[in-house]
Amino acid sequence: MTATRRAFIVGSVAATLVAPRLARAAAGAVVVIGAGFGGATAARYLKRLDPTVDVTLVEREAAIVTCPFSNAVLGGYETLQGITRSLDGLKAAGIKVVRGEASAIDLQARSVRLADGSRLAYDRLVVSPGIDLNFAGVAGYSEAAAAQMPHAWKAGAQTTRLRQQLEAMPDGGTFIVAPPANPFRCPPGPYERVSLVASYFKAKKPKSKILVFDAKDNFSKQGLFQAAWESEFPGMIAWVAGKDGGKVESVDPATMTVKCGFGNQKGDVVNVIPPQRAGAIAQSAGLTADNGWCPVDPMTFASTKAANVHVIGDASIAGAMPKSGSSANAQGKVAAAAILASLAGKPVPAPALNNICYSLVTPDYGISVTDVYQVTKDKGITTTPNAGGLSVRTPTDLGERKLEAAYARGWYRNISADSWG
Amino acid sequence: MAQDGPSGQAMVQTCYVCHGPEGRSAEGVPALMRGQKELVVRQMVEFKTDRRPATIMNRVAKSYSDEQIASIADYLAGLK
Repeated sequence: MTATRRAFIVGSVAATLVAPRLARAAAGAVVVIGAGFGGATAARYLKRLDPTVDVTLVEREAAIVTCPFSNAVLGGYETLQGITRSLDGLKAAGIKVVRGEASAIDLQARSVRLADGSRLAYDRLVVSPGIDLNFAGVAGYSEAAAAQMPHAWKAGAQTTRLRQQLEAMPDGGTFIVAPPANPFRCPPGPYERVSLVASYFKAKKPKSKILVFDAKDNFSKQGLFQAAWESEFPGMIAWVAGKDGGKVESVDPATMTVKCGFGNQKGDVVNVIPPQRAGAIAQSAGLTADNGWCPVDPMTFASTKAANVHVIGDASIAGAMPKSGSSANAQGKVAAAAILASLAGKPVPAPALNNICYSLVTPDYGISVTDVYQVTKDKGITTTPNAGGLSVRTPTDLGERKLEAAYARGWYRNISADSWG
Repeated sequence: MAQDGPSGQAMVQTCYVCHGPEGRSAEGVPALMRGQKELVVRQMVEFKTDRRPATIMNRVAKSYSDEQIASIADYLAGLK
Protein backbone atom coordinates (compact mmCIF):
# COMPACT_ATOMS: atom_id res chain seq x y z
CA MET A 1 0.00 0.00 0.00
CA THR A 2 2.66 2.46 1.07
CA ALA A 3 4.88 1.54 -1.82
CA THR A 4 2.03 1.99 -4.28
CA ARG A 5 1.20 5.33 -2.81
CA ARG A 6 4.79 6.50 -2.91
CA ALA A 7 5.15 5.37 -6.50
CA PHE A 8 2.11 7.42 -7.37
CA ILE A 9 3.53 10.52 -5.70
CA VAL A 10 6.79 10.22 -7.54
CA GLY A 11 5.06 9.62 -10.81
CA SER A 12 2.60 12.45 -10.63
CA VAL A 13 3.94 15.44 -8.80
CA ALA A 14 7.55 15.06 -7.74
CA ALA A 15 9.01 16.31 -11.01
CA THR A 16 7.07 19.55 -10.93
CA LEU A 17 7.25 19.84 -7.17
CA VAL A 18 10.93 19.92 -6.34
CA ALA A 19 12.33 22.78 -8.39
CA PRO A 20 9.86 25.53 -7.52
CA ARG A 21 9.81 24.57 -3.85
CA LEU A 22 13.54 25.03 -3.45
CA ALA A 23 13.21 28.55 -4.74
CA ARG A 24 10.42 29.51 -2.34
CA ALA A 25 10.69 30.39 1.31
CA ALA A 26 6.98 30.00 2.05
CA ALA A 27 5.17 26.67 2.31
CA GLY A 28 3.53 27.33 -1.02
CA ALA A 29 0.75 29.21 -2.74
CA VAL A 30 -2.64 27.62 -3.22
CA VAL A 31 -5.42 29.18 -5.26
CA VAL A 32 -8.97 27.94 -4.75
CA ILE A 33 -11.67 28.59 -7.34
CA GLY A 34 -15.15 28.73 -5.83
CA ALA A 35 -16.26 29.51 -2.26
CA GLY A 36 -19.06 26.95 -1.98
CA PHE A 37 -18.97 24.08 0.50
CA GLY A 38 -15.96 22.47 -1.25
CA GLY A 39 -13.77 25.49 -1.94
CA ALA A 40 -14.44 27.21 1.38
CA THR A 41 -13.65 24.02 3.32
CA ALA A 42 -10.47 23.38 1.35
CA ALA A 43 -9.30 26.96 1.95
CA ARG A 44 -10.13 26.86 5.66
CA TYR A 45 -8.45 23.50 6.26
CA LEU A 46 -5.35 24.46 4.30
CA LYS A 47 -4.91 27.43 6.61
CA ARG A 48 -5.89 25.53 9.72
CA LEU A 49 -3.50 22.65 9.09
CA ASP A 50 -0.65 24.93 7.99
CA PRO A 51 -0.97 28.65 8.75
CA THR A 52 2.15 29.39 6.68
CA VAL A 53 0.57 28.33 3.40
CA ASP A 54 -0.63 31.18 1.21
CA VAL A 55 -4.29 30.67 0.29
CA THR A 56 -6.22 32.79 -2.21
CA LEU A 57 -9.88 32.07 -2.83
CA VAL A 58 -11.61 33.35 -5.97
CA GLU A 59 -15.38 33.77 -5.85
CA ARG A 60 -17.63 35.67 -8.25
CA GLU A 61 -20.40 36.29 -5.71
CA ALA A 62 -20.20 38.57 -2.67
CA ALA A 63 -21.76 35.84 -0.51
CA ILE A 64 -22.87 32.24 -0.95
CA VAL A 65 -26.54 31.31 -1.09
CA THR A 66 -26.61 27.64 -0.19
CA CYS A 67 -28.64 25.01 -1.99
CA PRO A 68 -29.17 23.16 1.31
CA PHE A 69 -32.31 24.61 2.90
CA SER A 70 -33.26 26.44 -0.32
CA ASN A 71 -36.20 24.03 -0.54
CA ALA A 72 -37.26 25.32 2.88
CA VAL A 73 -37.34 28.79 1.30
CA LEU A 74 -39.64 27.42 -1.40
CA GLY A 75 -41.93 26.03 1.30
CA GLY A 76 -41.96 29.38 3.12
CA TYR A 77 -40.11 28.00 6.16
CA GLU A 78 -36.82 29.84 5.63
CA THR A 79 -35.65 33.10 4.07
CA LEU A 80 -33.03 33.65 1.41
CA GLN A 81 -31.10 35.74 3.91
CA GLY A 82 -31.17 32.80 6.32
CA ILE A 83 -29.36 30.60 3.79
CA THR A 84 -26.80 33.23 2.75
CA ARG A 85 -23.28 32.71 4.06
CA SER A 86 -20.85 35.58 4.38
CA LEU A 87 -17.23 35.23 3.26
CA ASP A 88 -15.97 37.33 6.18
CA GLY A 89 -15.13 34.22 8.24
CA LEU A 90 -12.79 33.07 5.49
CA LYS A 91 -11.04 36.43 5.46
CA ALA A 92 -10.73 36.31 9.25
CA ALA A 93 -9.03 32.92 8.90
CA GLY A 94 -6.24 34.55 6.87
CA ILE A 95 -7.52 33.56 3.45
CA LYS A 96 -7.22 36.16 0.70
CA VAL A 97 -10.68 36.36 -0.81
CA VAL A 98 -10.71 37.78 -4.34
CA ARG A 99 -14.05 38.74 -5.80
CA GLY A 100 -13.92 37.87 -9.45
CA GLU A 101 -14.59 35.36 -12.16
CA ALA A 102 -11.91 32.80 -12.97
CA SER A 103 -12.00 32.84 -16.75
CA ALA A 104 -9.02 30.64 -17.67
CA ILE A 105 -6.38 28.39 -16.17
CA ASP A 106 -2.87 28.35 -17.62
CA LEU A 107 -1.77 24.87 -16.62
CA GLN A 108 1.79 25.33 -17.93
CA ALA A 109 2.45 28.67 -16.22
CA ARG A 110 0.39 27.59 -13.20
CA SER A 111 -1.76 30.68 -13.05
CA VAL A 112 -5.44 31.53 -13.02
CA ARG A 113 -6.62 34.40 -15.19
CA LEU A 114 -9.55 36.42 -13.92
CA ALA A 115 -12.14 38.15 -16.08
CA ASP A 116 -10.58 41.52 -15.22
CA GLY A 117 -7.29 40.37 -16.76
CA SER A 118 -5.39 39.89 -13.51
CA ARG A 119 -3.54 36.65 -12.79
CA LEU A 120 -3.03 34.54 -9.71
CA ALA A 121 0.00 32.24 -9.63
CA TYR A 122 -0.25 28.92 -7.82
CA ASP A 123 1.80 25.96 -6.71
CA ARG A 124 -1.42 24.00 -6.29
CA LEU A 125 -4.88 24.81 -7.57
CA VAL A 126 -8.19 23.65 -6.12
CA VAL A 127 -11.07 23.81 -8.60
CA SER A 128 -14.47 23.75 -6.89
CA PRO A 129 -16.80 25.43 -9.39
CA GLY A 130 -19.95 23.41 -8.71
CA ILE A 131 -22.27 22.78 -11.62
CA ASP A 132 -23.26 24.37 -14.86
CA LEU A 133 -26.81 23.83 -16.05
CA ASN A 134 -27.11 22.26 -19.49
CA PHE A 135 -30.18 24.17 -20.67
CA ALA A 136 -29.98 22.55 -24.09
CA GLY A 137 -30.53 19.19 -22.40
CA VAL A 138 -34.28 19.85 -22.35
CA ALA A 139 -35.79 20.81 -25.73
CA GLY A 140 -37.54 24.17 -25.53
CA TYR A 141 -35.77 25.13 -22.31
CA SER A 142 -33.18 27.91 -22.08
CA GLU A 143 -31.71 30.39 -19.65
CA ALA A 144 -34.39 32.86 -20.76
CA ALA A 145 -37.14 30.25 -20.31
CA ALA A 146 -36.02 29.87 -16.69
CA ALA A 147 -37.87 33.12 -15.98
CA GLN A 148 -41.18 31.34 -16.74
CA MET A 149 -40.11 27.87 -15.66
CA PRO A 150 -37.49 28.33 -12.93
CA HIS A 151 -34.92 25.64 -12.29
CA ALA A 152 -34.04 27.02 -8.85
CA TRP A 153 -31.13 24.56 -8.90
CA LYS A 154 -28.64 27.28 -8.08
CA ALA A 155 -29.99 29.01 -5.01
CA GLY A 156 -30.61 32.74 -5.17
CA ALA A 157 -32.75 34.77 -7.55
CA GLN A 158 -34.16 31.58 -9.08
CA THR A 159 -35.26 30.37 -5.64
CA THR A 160 -37.07 33.66 -5.03
CA ARG A 161 -38.67 33.47 -8.47
CA LEU A 162 -40.04 29.97 -7.92
CA ARG A 163 -41.28 30.87 -4.43
CA GLN A 164 -43.13 33.89 -5.83
CA GLN A 165 -44.80 31.72 -8.46
CA LEU A 166 -45.87 29.19 -5.83
CA GLU A 167 -47.27 31.99 -3.67
CA ALA A 168 -49.19 33.42 -6.63
CA MET A 169 -50.58 30.03 -7.66
CA PRO A 170 -54.31 29.60 -6.94
CA ASP A 171 -55.54 26.83 -4.66
CA GLY A 172 -56.30 23.85 -6.88
CA GLY A 173 -53.38 24.62 -9.17
CA THR A 174 -50.86 22.15 -10.57
CA PHE A 175 -47.15 22.29 -9.76
CA ILE A 176 -44.94 20.26 -12.10
CA VAL A 177 -41.43 19.21 -11.13
CA ALA A 178 -39.13 17.65 -13.75
CA PRO A 179 -35.96 16.11 -12.23
CA PRO A 180 -33.06 15.06 -14.48
CA ALA A 181 -31.30 11.74 -15.00
CA ASN A 182 -28.30 10.88 -12.83
CA PRO A 183 -25.80 12.21 -12.01
CA PHE A 184 -26.83 15.64 -10.78
CA ARG A 185 -26.40 17.97 -7.81
CA CYS A 186 -28.20 16.81 -4.65
CA PRO A 187 -29.92 13.53 -5.65
CA PRO A 188 -32.70 13.76 -3.00
CA GLY A 189 -33.17 17.51 -3.63
CA PRO A 190 -36.08 17.36 -6.10
CA TYR A 191 -38.03 15.09 -3.76
CA GLU A 192 -37.37 17.21 -0.69
CA ARG A 193 -38.59 20.12 -2.82
CA VAL A 194 -41.77 18.25 -3.71
CA SER A 195 -42.26 17.47 0.00
CA LEU A 196 -41.78 20.98 1.37
CA VAL A 197 -43.95 22.53 -1.33
CA ALA A 198 -46.59 19.89 -0.55
CA SER A 199 -46.31 20.87 3.11
CA TYR A 200 -46.95 24.49 2.10
CA PHE A 201 -49.87 23.50 -0.14
CA LYS A 202 -51.39 21.36 2.60
CA ALA A 203 -51.48 24.38 4.89
CA LYS A 204 -52.41 27.09 2.37
CA LYS A 205 -53.67 25.53 -0.88
CA PRO A 206 -54.93 22.04 -0.04
CA LYS A 207 -56.71 21.41 -3.36
CA SER A 208 -53.45 21.73 -5.31
CA LYS A 209 -51.62 18.87 -7.01
CA ILE A 210 -47.96 18.09 -7.62
CA LEU A 211 -46.87 16.11 -10.67
CA VAL A 212 -43.31 14.79 -10.82
CA PHE A 213 -42.18 13.86 -14.33
CA ASP A 214 -38.92 12.06 -13.75
CA ALA A 215 -36.21 11.05 -16.21
CA LYS A 216 -35.32 8.24 -13.76
CA ASP A 217 -37.00 5.00 -12.70
CA ASN A 218 -35.97 5.39 -9.08
CA PHE A 219 -34.57 8.10 -6.85
CA SER A 220 -32.67 8.81 -3.65
CA LYS A 221 -34.47 7.93 -0.38
CA GLN A 222 -37.41 6.85 -2.56
CA GLY A 223 -39.04 4.47 -0.08
CA LEU A 224 -38.83 7.01 2.75
CA PHE A 225 -40.14 9.86 0.60
CA GLN A 226 -43.02 7.90 -0.89
CA ALA A 227 -44.12 6.57 2.51
CA ALA A 228 -44.01 10.12 3.85
CA TRP A 229 -45.99 11.48 0.88
CA GLU A 230 -48.69 8.90 1.53
CA SER A 231 -48.93 9.63 5.24
CA GLU A 232 -48.48 13.42 5.17
CA PHE A 233 -50.03 14.47 1.85
CA PRO A 234 -52.39 11.70 0.72
CA GLY A 235 -53.50 12.11 -2.89
CA MET A 236 -51.53 15.30 -3.51
CA ILE A 237 -48.38 13.98 -5.25
CA ALA A 238 -48.10 11.83 -8.37
CA TRP A 239 -44.64 10.63 -9.37
CA VAL A 240 -44.23 9.30 -12.91
CA ALA A 241 -41.11 7.20 -13.53
CA GLY A 242 -39.12 7.54 -16.74
CA LYS A 243 -40.19 4.06 -17.85
CA ASP A 244 -43.83 5.11 -17.45
CA GLY A 245 -43.43 8.15 -19.70
CA GLY A 246 -42.09 10.53 -17.08
CA LYS A 247 -39.03 11.59 -19.04
CA VAL A 248 -39.64 15.12 -20.32
CA GLU A 249 -39.18 15.39 -24.11
CA SER A 250 -39.73 19.11 -24.41
CA VAL A 251 -41.19 22.13 -22.66
CA ASP A 252 -43.06 25.18 -23.95
CA PRO A 253 -42.67 28.11 -21.56
CA ALA A 254 -45.20 30.23 -23.54
CA THR A 255 -48.01 27.82 -22.74
CA MET A 256 -46.46 26.42 -19.52
CA THR A 257 -46.70 22.97 -21.04
CA VAL A 258 -44.49 19.95 -20.47
CA LYS A 259 -44.42 17.21 -23.09
CA CYS A 260 -43.48 13.69 -22.10
CA GLY A 261 -44.46 10.12 -22.91
CA PHE A 262 -47.20 10.52 -20.34
CA GLY A 263 -48.80 13.23 -22.52
CA ASN A 264 -48.92 17.01 -22.72
CA GLN A 265 -49.41 18.51 -19.29
CA LYS A 266 -50.00 22.16 -18.50
CA GLY A 267 -48.82 23.43 -15.14
CA ASP A 268 -49.57 26.58 -13.18
CA VAL A 269 -46.01 26.46 -11.91
CA VAL A 270 -43.33 24.40 -13.66
CA ASN A 271 -39.93 23.61 -12.18
CA VAL A 272 -37.54 22.24 -14.80
CA ILE A 273 -34.31 20.85 -13.36
CA PRO A 274 -32.08 20.44 -16.41
CA PRO A 275 -29.12 18.06 -16.77
CA GLN A 276 -25.83 19.34 -15.41
CA ARG A 277 -22.09 19.21 -15.86
CA ALA A 278 -19.00 20.54 -14.12
CA GLY A 279 -18.74 24.34 -13.87
CA ALA A 280 -17.55 26.19 -16.99
CA ILE A 281 -13.98 26.78 -15.81
CA ALA A 282 -13.46 23.02 -15.45
CA GLN A 283 -14.71 22.53 -18.99
CA SER A 284 -12.57 25.26 -20.55
CA ALA A 285 -9.45 24.18 -18.67
CA GLY A 286 -9.79 20.66 -20.03
CA LEU A 287 -10.37 19.06 -16.64
CA THR A 288 -13.51 17.20 -17.70
CA ALA A 289 -14.08 13.78 -19.23
CA ASP A 290 -16.49 13.19 -22.13
CA ASN A 291 -19.38 12.99 -19.67
CA GLY A 292 -18.84 16.58 -18.54
CA TRP A 293 -17.49 15.79 -15.07
CA CYS A 294 -13.91 15.80 -13.74
CA PRO A 295 -12.04 12.55 -13.15
CA VAL A 296 -9.82 12.60 -10.05
CA ASP A 297 -7.50 10.39 -8.06
CA PRO A 298 -9.78 9.13 -5.27
CA MET A 299 -6.98 9.30 -2.67
CA THR A 300 -6.25 13.00 -3.18
CA PHE A 301 -8.85 14.49 -5.54
CA ALA A 302 -5.95 15.43 -7.81
CA SER A 303 -7.14 15.85 -11.37
CA THR A 304 -6.15 13.00 -13.65
CA LYS A 305 -6.20 15.53 -16.51
CA ALA A 306 -3.72 18.09 -15.19
CA ALA A 307 -0.79 18.26 -12.75
CA ASN A 308 -0.95 20.41 -9.61
CA VAL A 309 -4.74 20.68 -9.86
CA HIS A 310 -7.35 19.18 -7.54
CA VAL A 311 -11.06 19.10 -8.35
CA ILE A 312 -13.58 18.74 -5.54
CA GLY A 313 -17.31 18.99 -4.97
CA ASP A 314 -20.10 18.55 -7.48
CA ALA A 315 -17.72 18.98 -10.44
CA SER A 316 -15.70 15.87 -9.54
CA ILE A 317 -16.37 12.21 -10.27
CA ALA A 318 -16.18 10.77 -6.77
CA GLY A 319 -17.32 7.18 -7.08
CA ALA A 320 -20.09 6.33 -4.61
CA MET A 321 -20.20 9.85 -3.15
CA PRO A 322 -23.26 11.88 -4.14
CA LYS A 323 -22.94 15.47 -5.32
CA SER A 324 -23.73 17.17 -2.04
CA GLY A 325 -22.50 19.97 0.20
CA SER A 326 -21.47 17.35 2.74
CA SER A 327 -19.44 15.41 0.16
CA ALA A 328 -17.79 18.64 -1.00
CA ASN A 329 -16.90 19.55 2.58
CA ALA A 330 -15.27 16.14 3.14
CA GLN A 331 -13.44 16.32 -0.17
CA GLY A 332 -12.15 19.81 0.67
CA LYS A 333 -10.45 18.40 3.77
CA VAL A 334 -8.93 15.50 1.81
CA ALA A 335 -7.62 17.82 -0.90
CA ALA A 336 -6.19 20.21 1.72
CA ALA A 337 -4.30 17.43 3.51
CA ALA A 338 -3.05 15.96 0.23
CA ILE A 339 -1.84 19.35 -1.02
CA LEU A 340 0.02 20.16 2.19
CA ALA A 341 1.67 16.73 2.17
CA SER A 342 2.77 17.09 -1.44
CA LEU A 343 4.08 20.63 -0.89
CA ALA A 344 6.12 19.28 2.02
CA GLY A 345 7.30 16.28 0.01
CA LYS A 346 5.60 13.87 2.42
CA PRO A 347 3.55 10.75 1.58
CA VAL A 348 -0.11 11.32 0.81
CA PRO A 349 -2.21 10.78 3.94
CA ALA A 350 -5.01 8.20 3.75
CA PRO A 351 -8.29 10.01 3.03
CA ALA A 352 -11.34 9.98 5.32
CA LEU A 353 -14.56 10.64 3.43
CA ASN A 354 -18.17 10.68 4.54
CA ASN A 355 -21.51 12.10 3.50
CA ILE A 356 -24.42 13.07 5.72
CA CYS A 357 -27.47 14.19 3.88
CA TYR A 358 -30.68 15.24 5.60
CA SER A 359 -33.93 15.95 3.81
CA LEU A 360 -37.00 17.58 5.28
CA VAL A 361 -40.46 16.30 4.38
CA THR A 362 -42.07 18.90 6.63
CA PRO A 363 -40.37 21.24 9.12
CA ASP A 364 -40.88 18.51 11.75
CA TYR A 365 -40.22 15.43 9.63
CA GLY A 366 -36.63 14.69 8.69
CA ILE A 367 -34.96 11.73 6.98
CA SER A 368 -31.33 11.05 6.19
CA VAL A 369 -28.82 8.98 4.33
CA THR A 370 -25.21 8.63 5.42
CA ASP A 371 -22.12 6.73 4.41
CA VAL A 372 -18.51 6.50 5.46
CA TYR A 373 -16.45 5.61 2.40
CA GLN A 374 -13.62 3.23 1.77
CA VAL A 375 -11.01 4.49 -0.66
CA THR A 376 -8.56 2.43 -2.68
CA LYS A 377 -6.56 3.13 -5.80
CA ASP A 378 -8.14 0.09 -7.48
CA LYS A 379 -11.82 0.37 -6.59
CA GLY A 380 -12.00 4.09 -5.99
CA ILE A 381 -14.55 5.39 -3.49
CA THR A 382 -17.03 2.79 -2.26
CA THR A 383 -19.52 2.63 0.60
CA THR A 384 -18.65 0.61 3.71
CA PRO A 385 -20.52 -2.71 3.57
CA ASN A 386 -23.18 -3.36 6.21
CA ALA A 387 -23.03 0.22 7.47
CA GLY A 388 -24.45 3.62 6.72
CA GLY A 389 -27.59 3.92 4.65
CA LEU A 390 -31.04 5.31 5.27
CA SER A 391 -33.13 6.37 8.24
CA VAL A 392 -35.13 3.60 9.88
CA ARG A 393 -38.13 2.66 7.72
CA THR A 394 -40.57 2.46 10.64
CA PRO A 395 -40.05 5.10 13.31
CA THR A 396 -39.99 3.97 16.95
CA ASP A 397 -40.84 5.67 20.25
CA LEU A 398 -37.54 7.52 19.88
CA GLY A 399 -39.32 9.87 17.47
CA GLU A 400 -36.77 9.57 14.67
CA ARG A 401 -38.52 11.89 12.19
CA LYS A 402 -38.80 14.83 14.55
CA LEU A 403 -35.29 14.31 15.88
CA GLU A 404 -33.85 14.15 12.38
CA ALA A 405 -35.63 17.37 11.45
CA ALA A 406 -33.88 19.06 14.39
CA TYR A 407 -30.57 17.41 13.46
CA ALA A 408 -31.00 18.66 9.90
CA ARG A 409 -31.05 22.23 11.18
CA GLY A 410 -28.10 21.52 13.48
CA TRP A 411 -26.26 19.96 10.54
CA TYR A 412 -26.87 23.08 8.48
CA ARG A 413 -25.58 25.42 11.16
CA ASN A 414 -22.55 23.24 11.94
CA ILE A 415 -21.48 22.46 8.37
CA SER A 416 -21.80 26.18 7.64
CA ALA A 417 -19.46 27.00 10.52
CA ASP A 418 -17.06 24.24 9.43
CA SER A 419 -17.04 25.51 5.84
CA TRP A 420 -17.22 29.31 6.15
CA GLY A 421 -16.46 29.94 9.83
CA MET B 1 -3.39 -2.66 7.83
CA ALA B 2 -4.42 -0.16 10.48
CA GLN B 3 -1.61 2.28 9.73
CA ASP B 4 -2.74 2.41 6.10
CA GLY B 5 -6.15 3.78 7.06
CA PRO B 6 -7.01 7.40 7.78
CA SER B 7 -5.59 9.03 10.92
CA GLY B 8 -7.72 9.73 13.95
CA GLN B 9 -7.53 13.40 13.07
CA ALA B 10 -8.73 12.83 9.50
CA MET B 11 -11.65 10.70 10.71
CA VAL B 12 -12.64 13.10 13.48
CA GLN B 13 -12.59 16.02 11.05
CA THR B 14 -15.34 14.31 9.08
CA CYS B 15 -17.52 14.40 12.24
CA TYR B 16 -17.49 18.21 12.20
CA VAL B 17 -19.94 18.32 9.31
CA CYS B 18 -22.70 17.53 11.84
CA HIS B 19 -21.04 18.18 15.20
CA GLY B 20 -19.42 21.51 14.26
CA PRO B 21 -15.77 22.61 14.00
CA GLU B 22 -13.71 20.88 16.73
CA GLY B 23 -16.94 19.12 17.70
CA ARG B 24 -18.36 22.27 19.30
CA SER B 25 -21.90 21.98 18.00
CA ALA B 26 -23.83 25.24 17.91
CA GLU B 27 -27.30 23.74 17.57
CA GLY B 28 -29.36 20.57 17.68
CA VAL B 29 -26.62 17.96 17.34
CA PRO B 30 -24.76 16.98 20.55
CA ALA B 31 -21.19 18.30 20.90
CA LEU B 32 -18.34 15.80 20.78
CA MET B 33 -16.87 14.74 24.11
CA ARG B 34 -13.27 15.74 24.73
CA GLY B 35 -10.77 14.24 27.13
CA GLN B 36 -12.84 11.11 27.76
CA LYS B 37 -11.40 8.34 25.68
CA GLU B 38 -13.06 5.39 27.45
CA LEU B 39 -16.50 6.99 27.31
CA VAL B 40 -16.19 7.74 23.60
CA VAL B 41 -15.10 4.18 22.87
CA ARG B 42 -17.95 2.75 24.96
CA GLN B 43 -20.60 4.92 23.32
CA MET B 44 -19.33 4.24 19.80
CA VAL B 45 -19.30 0.50 20.45
CA GLU B 46 -22.83 0.74 21.86
CA PHE B 47 -23.96 2.65 18.75
CA LYS B 48 -22.24 0.09 16.56
CA THR B 49 -23.98 -2.84 18.26
CA ASP B 50 -27.41 -1.14 18.48
CA ARG B 51 -27.28 -1.06 22.26
CA ARG B 52 -27.61 2.72 22.38
CA PRO B 53 -30.65 4.51 20.91
CA ALA B 54 -29.77 6.60 17.86
CA THR B 55 -31.16 8.04 14.65
CA ILE B 56 -27.93 8.07 12.67
CA MET B 57 -24.92 7.30 14.88
CA ASN B 58 -25.73 3.58 14.79
CA ARG B 59 -25.39 3.70 10.99
CA VAL B 60 -22.22 5.78 11.20
CA ALA B 61 -20.53 3.71 13.94
CA LYS B 62 -20.99 0.47 11.99
CA SER B 63 -18.60 1.93 9.40
CA TYR B 64 -15.64 1.87 11.78
CA SER B 65 -13.47 -0.98 13.02
CA ASP B 66 -12.67 -1.21 16.73
CA GLU B 67 -9.15 0.03 15.92
CA GLN B 68 -10.58 3.05 14.11
CA ILE B 69 -12.91 3.79 17.02
CA ALA B 70 -9.91 3.73 19.36
CA SER B 71 -8.05 6.05 17.01
CA ILE B 72 -11.04 8.44 16.86
CA ALA B 73 -11.36 8.42 20.65
CA ASP B 74 -7.62 9.04 21.03
CA TYR B 75 -7.71 12.13 18.86
CA LEU B 76 -10.86 13.46 20.54
CA ALA B 77 -9.33 12.91 23.95
CA GLY B 78 -6.44 15.14 22.97
CA LEU B 79 -8.55 18.02 21.65
CA LYS B 80 -8.24 21.17 23.73
